[in-house]
Order: sequence, then structure tokens, then C-alpha cells
Amino acid sequence: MAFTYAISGGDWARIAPELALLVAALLVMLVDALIPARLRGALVIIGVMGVLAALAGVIMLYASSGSPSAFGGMVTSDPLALFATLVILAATGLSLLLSPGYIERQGTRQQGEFYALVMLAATGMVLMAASTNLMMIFLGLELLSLPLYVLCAFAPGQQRAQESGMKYFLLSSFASGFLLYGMALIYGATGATNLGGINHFVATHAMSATAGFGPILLGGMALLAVGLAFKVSAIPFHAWTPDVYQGALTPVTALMSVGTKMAAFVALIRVFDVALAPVRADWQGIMWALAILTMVGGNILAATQTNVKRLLAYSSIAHAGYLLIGIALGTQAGIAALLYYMAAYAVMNVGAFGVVLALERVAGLGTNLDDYRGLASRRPALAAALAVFLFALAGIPGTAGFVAKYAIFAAAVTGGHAELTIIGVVASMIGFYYYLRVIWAMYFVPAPDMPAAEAANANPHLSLAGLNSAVVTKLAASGTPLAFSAGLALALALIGTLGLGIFPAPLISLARQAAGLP
Amino acid sequence: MAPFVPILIMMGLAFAFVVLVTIVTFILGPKKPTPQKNAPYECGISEITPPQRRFPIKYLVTGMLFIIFDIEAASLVPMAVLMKRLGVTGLIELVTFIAILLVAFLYVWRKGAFTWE
Amino acid sequence: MLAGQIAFYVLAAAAIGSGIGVIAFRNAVYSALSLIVNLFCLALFFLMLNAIFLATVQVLVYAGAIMVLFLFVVTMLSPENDESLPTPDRLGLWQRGAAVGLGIILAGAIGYIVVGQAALHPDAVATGAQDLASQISRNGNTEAFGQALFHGFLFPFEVTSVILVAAIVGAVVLGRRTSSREGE
Repeated sequence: MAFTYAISGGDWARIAPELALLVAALLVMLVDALIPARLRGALVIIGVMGVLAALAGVIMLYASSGSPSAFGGMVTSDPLALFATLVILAATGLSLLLSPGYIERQGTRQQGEFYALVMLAATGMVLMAASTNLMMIFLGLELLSLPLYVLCAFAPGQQRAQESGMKYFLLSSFASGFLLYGMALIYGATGATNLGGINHFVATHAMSATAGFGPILLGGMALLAVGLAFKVSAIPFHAWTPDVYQGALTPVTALMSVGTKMAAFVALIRVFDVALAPVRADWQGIMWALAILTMVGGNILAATQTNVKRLLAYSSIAHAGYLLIGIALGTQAGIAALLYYMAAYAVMNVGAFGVVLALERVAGLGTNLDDYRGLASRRPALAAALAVFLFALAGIPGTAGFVAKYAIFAAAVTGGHAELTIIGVVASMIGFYYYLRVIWAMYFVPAPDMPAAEAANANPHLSLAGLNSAVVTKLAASGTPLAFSAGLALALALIGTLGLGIFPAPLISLARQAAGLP
Repeated sequence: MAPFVPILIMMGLAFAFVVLVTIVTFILGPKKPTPQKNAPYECGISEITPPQRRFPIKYLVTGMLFIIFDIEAASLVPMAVLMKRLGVTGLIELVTFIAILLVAFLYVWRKGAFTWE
Repeated sequence: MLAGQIAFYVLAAAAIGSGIGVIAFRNAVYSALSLIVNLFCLALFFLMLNAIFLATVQVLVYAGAIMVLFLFVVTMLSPENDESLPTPDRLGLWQRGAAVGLGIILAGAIGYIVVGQAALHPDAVATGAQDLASQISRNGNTEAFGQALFHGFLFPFEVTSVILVAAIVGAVVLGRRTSSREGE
């Protein structure tokens, strides 16, 4: 048969990061089934080791030569996939470090499952970013979605968590249906599921309404755009985001907001900006409108929020809008800016969620804006960290957020879409308002009364299930002490946020390489 | 389609037989109902609550696990057809597939999801 | 040819009838049974299209396993409500309107493609003919499908097993937690 090809060890080496994450997930499950319950908190170590091993795999693949394609063009390890993998690994690693202590505080008894599902979701994200075939994109998407459905509903006995999981499951499966239908139509129109084959067909045939593939391809593109726009929570496909983000456990929210976005944006780049580049005129308008709607709408909706988790959810919608500029431009500079933006967003957003997590009590209490009043005097270190992350999200110079916004707006101007830059800057101005509102509450509004309730809620069993009990750092004088690993994660995110802002050059050159620029 | 015609005929015959027997007994059987005959059989007692009840949700976990392992089994059908021609390569591919699911199986087993409480 | 056509129309009538039965019966058990007939008709359609493996899977997975789950859900419905599902009257008017509108659009799109000859580009058909999927549909047997699965599509096949693992963990997490709470 013509399609038979020999699978060599080289093919498996091309997916080393995915394999490392998968092996870690399976190990977590196996060890979880064998050790007594009180030791299960230590399973996070296997997860972190898996992330580090995957990181080593990425470095190895960066150094390797030869064709990046593997398994007959199903997946690839080109610079774009590797860059996306780095971002996803950063988000996964930080989320894992944030989890110990927090998930016990939320009353979770199934810690092994939690870490196994996080690792499986990360595997799916990396796989989706590496896919060069519509079928693999779909499988990667399902592999990242299934664990996330469960993780969203993970907090035991909490109605908000169940609502979160159920909403995400129903709406996301519906969106997957759109995606799959779109893929089927594109296959019908072009006769290929391989992105290279689609590109070849579209490039060599004229789009016309009479001679065939026009209407079917247009329908397929529209449905595919709907499915992926849902995943990056672009307006008007955003309605699930605040409820799901608010109800899910905060490390899960942090992972979703970065990892899913990264994977879906790579799919958007590969399908629209690369494979369907010859018919750019037909999809560019849609992406242009989505970008504007999402930027403006996300920022306006965020400005009215009184819950910090919901506020960050709407802020993540707004950031999806800035990122969509990179897709709408369709230029390599736009893609490079998008990738850098995504890396910056990973550290600052996971960092912001990390501080929210440190202050959160059981069942989502302590995430209202009122709870942040006077935080600077109670927990100065956490307040300062949150201030840095919010400044970065707002795009203040000196932080990663500023460089990222600058890069994407500059790409829009040079790409001939100055109107996107103007709208983006105006939307960012609205963004300043709500980010500063949180900072204002922390630093300039006195606390209502001393948080006796918070002190009472501090869980005595906060240690890493007995392993790290000696190293629980006390970053604060009162309230829930921060687990050592969470402190480490916040420190890393802080270094990333400031480091990418002050020394952006290395990562920018990496992003340019991923976008195919010299 | 052609190789399946005998199977279809067989199924049709089986179905027709059931329908036929049901109809014939319904027509031929004498029907003389009396209160005694309508009462529950022998020592049975009349129902005191409606017999329909909600089932515990643990049936549902069993059902879900059944579906997942059923899909696994269905994926093995083409393998069975091609066993000889795929040779060692096919065996390795299959073992990889099964090994990944075996981890999940061990996990479910150890977690006691197969145990009836 | 004629026999095939007769078989198709008989099957089509059965499929549509049972499909209407799914939504028309007030009793959830009857609806579920209609669904079984409907899924079985689909399996026979696959068989008529020479997609033998799909037919097998349709019977094994849908008519078999998925239906089990449906029946479990039916058993969980409250018996006090006469086992009847919520009536459609509770749906809002706009939902009905939207459903009708979307249905018309769908029918129009399909009609355009089928009747309006907005059919596939010959080159796309040619490209597709070299593709695995159409090899399967032309040769139409489990063997061709297996060839494709274990050679060209090996990697997606292996990924499927990972997705199944995720589903298993999810089922255990969600199912067991609910049952342990009910037991308390």
C-alpha cells in the first residue's frame, strides 16, 4: 500500500516532550494507586520531574538537525511547536508548583488524580501545538479538553465547581462539534487533512463559486474559526470563560488560561496563517473583527467586575483580543509578536492567579475585590507581587507586558493595520482602570476589620503532606502561610515578568525564529 | 453487502419467528380472567410502593468504564483481521496501545472502582 | 441495484420513523428503545456503503455501550414524575425560532451542495482518492481500515489510547466522589 511508511526511533524522538509528559502522567497514576493516601501530596514531584524532562526534550530538539516532521506528517517539532511547548511547560510547571497546600486546603482527597489530569492536559496542549494534520489537531484538542472538564469540577462538594465543569463540558463539546464539521468540509473541499496538502491545493486552485471548492471551503473555514475562537475565548464565543474560570480550582484556571490559549493559537497560526494563506482575503476580515470585538468587549466587561478571579477571566478575554491581532495580520512579524506576547502572558497571568490562590480560602471565599482592601499592610510581599503582575498585564514599561504590547502594536502598524493599533491602545487604556482598581484597593483603602476569619481558616495541614513541613516559608505575618513551592512559583513568575521586560532580546529572537523570520 | 445477505435472512427469520409465536399464542390461548387470576402469583403480595425506583449512581461509573473499554475492544477488531500480515511491527504497535490502557486499568482496579460496595 | 434501492428506502423509512419516535414518545424508555432502532438502522446504512468496520463499531459502541448509559440515565429519572421528560412547552419561544431558523439554514446548505452541484472539485476528489480515508471507503472493508490504522494513521491511533486513559481517570474521579457522598 502506498501509505505504508516505516516508523523509526527518530519519529519517537521528535515527540520527546509529549512522551516525557505522558510518562509522568502514567507514573503519577501508577504510584498513586500503590502508595498510602497520606503520601499522595508528594506526587507533585513526579509531575515537576516530567515537566523538567520535557524541557530537556525541547532543548534537545532545538539542537537537533534534520526534518522536524514525524509520523508521516502528523506532527512536527519545528521552532513554532518548540516555542509553544516552552510556554505550555512554563504554565504547567508553575501551576504544579502552586498546587500543593492549596488543593488540600480546598478539601481535595484525590490529589493523585489531580496531578495525573494536569499532566494529561499538558500532554494534549503540547500535542495540539505540534500537530500538522487536522486529525491530530482535533485529537490534541480532545486530549487537553477531557482532563480539563474534570479538573474544572474538581473541588469536592462545591456547586460553583460543578457548574464550572458542566458548563465547560457542554459548551466545549458543542464547539468541538463545530470544529470537526469544519474539518470535514475542508477535507471535502481540498481532499487533504494534512496542512501541507491543504496549502498545496489552495495555492494551485482558484477560488470560485461555480467550479466547486469555494462554498465548501468557506463553510469549513467559518466552522473551524468558530471552534478555535471558542477555545481562545474570543468574543462572541466567550460567555463560558468567567463562570468556568471562577469555579475551577485556581491552579487549573491558571493552566487553562495560558496552555489552552497557546495550543489553540498555534492551531490558528498553522491553519489560517500558513495553510490557508493563499485565501487570506476570505478569512482576514473575520479575524480582524474578532480581534476588535474581543479587545474592546473584554476590557469593558472586565471593568465592571467585583471578583478578582472573574476580573482576571475577562482580562484573559481582552488579552486574547490583542493576540488575535497577530492572526489577523497574517504576517510573520505578527506571528512573532503573538508568540512573544503569549510567553509574557504566561508568566504574568499565572503569577497573578498565584497570588489570588495564596489569598483564597475555601470555596472561592476571599477572592472579592473587598477582600483585597488593605492587603499591603497585612501581606506586603504578596501585595507587591500582585501589583507587579497587574502592572505587567496592564502594560507598564519595564515589565514583560509592555514589550509584548509594543511588539504586537508595532507589527500591526508595519503590517498596514494601524486601526488595530489605535483600537488596541484605547482598549488598553480601559484596562488600566480595572488593574489599577485592584492595586488601589490593596494600597490605599484601609482594611475593613482585621481578618480573624482568615486566620481561623488557615489550614493546619498545609505542609506538603508531611514532606516539606519544615520548609513552609512564612512570607506573611498573618493569614494563610504560603507553601514553599507556591512561593517558589511566585518568585519564578516574578523573575520572568521583570526579566522578559528588561532583557526581552533573547526571547524575541527565539519567537522570530519560530515565526520563520531571520 | 452480498456476503451479509445470509446473516440478514437469518436475523429476519429469527425476528419473524418471535413475532409469529407471540401472535399465535395471543390468538390461540383462552382468556377467561377472574379476580383470582389477576392477583399476584401464589404467595406474592400486592405492591405497596411503585416498583420504579432511582438507581444508585454507582451503576453509572460501571457503565462509563464499560463504554471506554468497549471502544478499546472495537479498536482491536481490525488488528484481529490483519494479525498475520502486520507481523512483529503490528504486535509492537498493539502492545503500546494496550500497555497505555493497562496503566489505566491497574489504576482503576487499585482505586477500587471495580469493587461493588 | 433495484434490491439495494428497495432496501435503502425501507431502511430510510425505519430510520426516520424511529428518529421521530425518539422525540415523540412521552415515556423515556420508549424513546431510548426507538434510539436503539435508529442506531441500528444507521449501522445498516454503513453496511450498504461497504463501511463494514464502521457498521461493527456502530453496533458495538453506540447500539451497545452508549445505549447502556442512556438506560442508566433513564433509571435515574424520578419515578414520581411518571418518568416523563420535561415537556417542550417549557422551552422559550426564541429557542424554537432559533431552532427552526438554523434547521432551514442547514437544509438549505445541504440542498445547495446536493442539488446545486456545488459538488467537490475534481482535483480535490483526485487528491482525496490518494488519501487513506477514501481508500477505506472504496475498498470498504475492515482489512483496508486496519492497513490504514496500523500504518499511516498509527500515531493518531496510539494517541486515542491516551485520550481513553484521560476518560477513565475522569470517570473514576467524578463518579466515585458522587457515590461516596451519597453513601454518607
